[in-house]
Amino acid sequence: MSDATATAAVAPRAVARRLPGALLLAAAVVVLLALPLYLEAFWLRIGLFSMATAVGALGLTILFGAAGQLSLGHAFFVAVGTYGYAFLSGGDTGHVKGLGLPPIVAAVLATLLAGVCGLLFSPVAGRLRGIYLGIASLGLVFLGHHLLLNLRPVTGGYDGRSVTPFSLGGFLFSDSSDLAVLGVPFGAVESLWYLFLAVTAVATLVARNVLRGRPGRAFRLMRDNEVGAAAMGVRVQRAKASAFVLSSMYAGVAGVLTALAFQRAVPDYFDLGLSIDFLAMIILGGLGSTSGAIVGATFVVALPIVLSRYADALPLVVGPGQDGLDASIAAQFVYGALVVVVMLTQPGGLRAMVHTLRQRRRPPYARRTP
Amino acid sequence: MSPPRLAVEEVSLAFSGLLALDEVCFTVEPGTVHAVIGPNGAGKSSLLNTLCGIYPVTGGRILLDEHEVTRLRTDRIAALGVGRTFQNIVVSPQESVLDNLMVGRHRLTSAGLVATALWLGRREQRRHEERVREIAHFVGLSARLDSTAGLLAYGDLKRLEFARALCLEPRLLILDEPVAGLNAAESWELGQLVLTARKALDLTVVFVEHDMGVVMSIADRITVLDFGRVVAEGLPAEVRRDPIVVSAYLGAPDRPEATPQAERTPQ
Repeated sequence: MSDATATAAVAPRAVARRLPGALLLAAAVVVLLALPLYLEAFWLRIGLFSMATAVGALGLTILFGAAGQLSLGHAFFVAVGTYGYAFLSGGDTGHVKGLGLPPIVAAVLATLLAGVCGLLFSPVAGRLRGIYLGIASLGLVFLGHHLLLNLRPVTGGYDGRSVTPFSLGGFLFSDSSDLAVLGVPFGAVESLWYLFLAVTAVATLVARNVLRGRPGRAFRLMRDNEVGAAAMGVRVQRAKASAFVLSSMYAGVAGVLTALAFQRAVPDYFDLGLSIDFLAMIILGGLGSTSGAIVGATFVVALPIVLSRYADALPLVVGPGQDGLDASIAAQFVYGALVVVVMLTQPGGLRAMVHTLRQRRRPPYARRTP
Repeated sequence: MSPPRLAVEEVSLAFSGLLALDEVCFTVEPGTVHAVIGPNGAGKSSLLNTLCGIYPVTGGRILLDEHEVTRLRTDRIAALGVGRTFQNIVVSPQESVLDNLMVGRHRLTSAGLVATALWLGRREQRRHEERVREIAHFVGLSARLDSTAGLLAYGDLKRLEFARALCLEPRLLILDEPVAGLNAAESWELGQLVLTARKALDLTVVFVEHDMGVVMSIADRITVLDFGRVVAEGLPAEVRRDPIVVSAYLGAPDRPEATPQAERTPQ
């Protein structure tokens, strides 16, 4: 059989194989777009936090999952994004200063600022490897926290500062907008939902392109064997540095989204715990996987909020301020235990689990052949 | 492009007092297959690693045609068209065979982070994928392209590494024990692949190997190392008869040229 006829014979099968996936994706998009019309603000807000965090997790999964470079300084770059946006878009109120730039400009600049911070740290990031970079980047979190508390004119100190709502082309993403769609009032949460959805979608596609393309392949060989990657012509030091800068820009975007979702920037959010949460997310989801990062982020973000909402109905767990096991602590126990279980049983995370199940459904030798 | 000449001139390599290579000299003529043999610990792999810039030499020069590559970074040397395989297989075990081979195209492609992020690397990728499939076909990995590399049989892994080195479109091919661990039939097959590739792709080949059957059948010339020094060099038939080589391998009591001097300090 010639190559051409072989391809022709395979093509319809390839389409048939991709069809269920494409339909599923289309259905998911429709559901995601329709959600604000049906869900109450509580759930939408969880969605906003999840999406904001998912973007950060995507950055870390490129850096750690693909390039094998551990960073515990991720929270620092998220903080740069949050406070960068708050400062650049905010006005002067009392002793807290701001530049009053248009929100879209402020958002872009805040992302670039996080990238520049990543670039400044990249001489270190390019020379260290794996766990050693993790230790070195730990210092960033403490430095960041110190600056957040003491750089009062920019950050507002311990109390933090408020965040200017996003606006684009005259449309204000806040509760003061009196738009209504199908009888549903479109306040901050509903309109931000679509903004976040768009940003998360672009961030995911960009991450997929990078991971599936030339840089992603170079990152992964570098992760598995640095000398091997160099022998293939990969400039190892530069590849590490660029992975770090890219991941800090992702963290910057996550920071901007976080600022918009919280509508306030407070220093205590950006501690080491946040960096570790990011790590837990990408490990749960499967290192180096974009869908894994999103699922992991949603899980880690939503679990404590959902647990505390249903604290009354759940055994052992109590709501905030009551005597007993606090919901957010309980959530940490749950996903802490899950990380251990995942590492022991399914090191590839949720993505690998899904992959294995799918492979099992198919007859073993009817799998993809060229 | 014609295959390059590789000249190794008085190359020495010391690891804090331990002299791994001691003024090693030899020349690989363009388009030939050159074997480096010697007992364990003779410095063969160290020699290959200095050729690729992985170990910085402590003395001497390495010339690829007229280019001096002695102090170049590993990726720069790769960019000059030097492809290699490793003794302990180096692949990304969780990636597909195709992805592993595509890494070999790194130096020939240019899509950076920004271009890839903006969907601009696709056409380039497709074009190079075609060539990679050809090379996979050549080494007999066509049916394995979508398999996860970590699940391949050992013989396939060896061929994967060989194919990836070819994907670099090298002019100089360096193979570190290409048939180690393979059975006789697989070894012979891979040996023939090396010869075919050399001819079809205009390569100069340097390889280290313990399998004397393969060495004798594919090498044009052989350099023998022992304790970091060249103890013999010549055509396969000459080397096979050389008493020094026999003693280096069999450990005869009097070793005229190769007295152990490994603990000498470097100059």
